[in-house]
Amino acid sequence: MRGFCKIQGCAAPKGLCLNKLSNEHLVCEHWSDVEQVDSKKSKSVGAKVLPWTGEALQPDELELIGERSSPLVIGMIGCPDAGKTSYLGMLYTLLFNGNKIDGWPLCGSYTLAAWEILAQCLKIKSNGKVDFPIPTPSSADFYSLYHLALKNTQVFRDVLLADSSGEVFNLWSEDVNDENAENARWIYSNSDAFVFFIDSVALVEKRGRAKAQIVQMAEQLAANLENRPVAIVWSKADKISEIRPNIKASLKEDLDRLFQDATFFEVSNFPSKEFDPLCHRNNINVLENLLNRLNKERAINLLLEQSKSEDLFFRFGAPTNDRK
Amino acid sequence: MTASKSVLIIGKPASGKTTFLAQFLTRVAKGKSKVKLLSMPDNIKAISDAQKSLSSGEEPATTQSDRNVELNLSLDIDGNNVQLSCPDYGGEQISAHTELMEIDKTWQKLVKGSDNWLLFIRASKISPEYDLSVTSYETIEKDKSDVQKELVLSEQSSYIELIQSLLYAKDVGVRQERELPKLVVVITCWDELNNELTPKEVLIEKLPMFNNVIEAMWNRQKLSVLGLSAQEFPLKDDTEATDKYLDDLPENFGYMVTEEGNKDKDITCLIDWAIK
Repeated sequence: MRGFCKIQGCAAPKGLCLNKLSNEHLVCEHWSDVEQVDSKKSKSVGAKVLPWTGEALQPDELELIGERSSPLVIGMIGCPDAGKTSYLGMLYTLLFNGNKIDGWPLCGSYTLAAWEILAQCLKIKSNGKVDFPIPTPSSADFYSLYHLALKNTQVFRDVLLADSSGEVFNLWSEDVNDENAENARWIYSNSDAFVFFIDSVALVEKRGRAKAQIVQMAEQLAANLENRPVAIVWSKADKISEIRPNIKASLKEDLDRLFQDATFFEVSNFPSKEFDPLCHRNNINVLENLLNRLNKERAINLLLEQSKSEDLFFRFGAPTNDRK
Repeated sequence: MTASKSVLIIGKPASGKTTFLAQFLTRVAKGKSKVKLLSMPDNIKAISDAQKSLSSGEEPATTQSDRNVELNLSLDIDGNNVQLSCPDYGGEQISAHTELMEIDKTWQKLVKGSDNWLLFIRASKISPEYDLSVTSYETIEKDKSDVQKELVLSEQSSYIELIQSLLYAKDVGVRQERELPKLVVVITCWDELNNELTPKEVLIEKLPMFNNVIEAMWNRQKLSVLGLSAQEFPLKDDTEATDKYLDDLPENFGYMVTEEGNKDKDITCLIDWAIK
């Protein structure tokens, strides 16, 4: 069910409903879902309702995908304002502009509307300004799973990129059992791979304090990693040269110690020229690197999965759950 | 005569379906084209209005939604019986699919029964999107947004969603490559584009992600991108253009553009492409 709130500044459905001060935006009188808005248009009897809505998926909706393939979940981990949501926005923007994930052509997505909201934040408005995304809501039950259906040679894979707020990851990095960090726990236990964000600007401005926070989160990420691949992303890397060399070297040393097989990337959402690898190549390379590593490690499992599966079809909407 | 084939025309509002059908019907009725009309349908009101406009050298009006009746034509192409269906001249139902996220009963039946889809896209109406990846950052002010964005799909995403939803209604998934219908993307109102590109190049320029998605899903033999200018030039407020139509008659205008970028005056061949 697609929708939006008529109150300016309300964060529903991603965050708290401004009017009800809760997550119950569906009962708020200012909430309009498209089905109600369009109720004047006759809805025909026997219409087949699509089992996906275009909005970000929630953990309890994964059966939508589970029936056709075992999805790869990639968790976005990082401190507040580290650029996790903006990374996803730029990833989609690059795909939108025709860029490809090498070896993994895009076949579709169940969450196009959600991707579009992320990408809208990177659109340039007529006044030359860009609306960066509002901070991702920090409630413990807030999940945003962004879907891509990809094809690798003849194998189709559903990929879910799991976003959550940096505040929740801060809580989790201090206490993995924190009652307000349920979504961080879910992402950590269910992800097949991780993108770990290092905020270059925070390191420039907050120096040692930012570094300590990053290392603490990295230690928690490394604690029960069990060989799951990690891509370490220096975000806002157009500012990376402004980080004090000793801080950068010390952080790099800590990360090398914690993640021996990690690959490092530098990304930026602000290209300095027509083709800037920090933006146009590296954002996509992060995902491509993780997918290739996962594919290699899972090759044997993948064959078993396919041969025993009764669902021979990579269907759009195989499940028959009727949405009310 | 071999088994019947079914061709479905799909297009959003004002994508050029009615003008094509008017020109198509005028040509096939004369019996001079490759495609022959086996019988005239009972109700061609919306199409005949467009035919009348064209024969007066006027631009056909956009089809009103209350004229959204289904048009079915029974055709013969080289001995093949072909049913051409255009269930929605106005295109309102197509827009509703991705707005309401549902496929009504008529469309379910149509997509299930057709193995050849003609998707009309009026590329000249798709404006470029400006985002950070295509602009140097010096001119940009970075603001934090405090406004929740509305869920509005871009043209590009709405076409992907449309294809996904129609395949869902057809009960076909991308793993069933052999079951996918033949898809012909038709870049309509070609004369509005004013360029020397091939239809595929236009699609890549206007909807690159959509092009990537259909190329990933479809086998090359079952996917084509063609161009169409059913009218050949605009007729609005142009007496010279109107005179040409009055003098030389509508059936002598219009062309389709092949994959290689060559023009073919026989626009009825579009249907032949759809069933190849």
